[in-house]
Amino acid sequence: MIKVNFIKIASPKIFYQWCGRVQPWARRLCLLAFLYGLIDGLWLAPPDYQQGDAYRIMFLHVPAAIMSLLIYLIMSIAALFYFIWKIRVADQCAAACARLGALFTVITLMTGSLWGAPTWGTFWIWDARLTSELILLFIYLGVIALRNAMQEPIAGARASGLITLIGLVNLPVIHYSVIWWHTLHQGPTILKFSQPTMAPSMLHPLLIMIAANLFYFIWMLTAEVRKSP
Amino acid sequence: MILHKLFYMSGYGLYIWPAYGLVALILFINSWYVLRDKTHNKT
Repeated sequence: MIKVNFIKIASPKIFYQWCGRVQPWARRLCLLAFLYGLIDGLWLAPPDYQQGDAYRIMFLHVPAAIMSLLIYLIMSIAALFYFIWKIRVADQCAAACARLGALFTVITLMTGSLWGAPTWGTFWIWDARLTSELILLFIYLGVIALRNAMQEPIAGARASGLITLIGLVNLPVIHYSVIWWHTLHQGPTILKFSQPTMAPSMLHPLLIMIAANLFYFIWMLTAEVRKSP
Repeated sequence: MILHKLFYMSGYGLYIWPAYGLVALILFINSWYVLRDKTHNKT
């Protein structure tokens, strides 16, 4: 059993060892969850009564959107840890999170456009949810660019960490944008206080795909951190 | 049966399969990029 001790794990040596142990399990669980999620989502789940089979893009879009927000939250916590305790591995995690977060945000926007075309009749609209998600991508890219622009790694880590913490204000805007403004994008279906308003036969593959994306993120994060200079 | 299911989806296949294909490609390229160099892996 893997014991998590936050004081010990701050040591790079211990952290890299811990990542080395987590990585193969994350890889196995990710591949299994993707395989099962794809079979369940593309094969077993019934077509939607209004959208037909087009709704199956949801199994890519929703997990990627959740990951884009979750990774930003993790990146912010890592940046805060680096600011307060100057933990080197926290900064390495934040750097890896920025790249992976940008990747998931690109997937969210791309699959959202491909879902919007058959259901809304347009690939893009300057809707509050879409625009705030696009701003999230720009923040991710800004964080990556700022880190690489600085010659001194410590200055890059501090500057990108500061932008990360300022950009945190965008997360509630993205989540509540569909409630605060009248948008073409639908309201929350899963991440809300009451029960999810979705048929179990569709919710099940969606939750599996969310787990698959989460394990993919853990797999890639642990692999990338262990490669950090 | 699988082929039937694939063609059954072809009504909206114009959007479903490019979405799944592009995401698979992106995740594959990213995985290759991250995992390509194992020489610096710290134990």
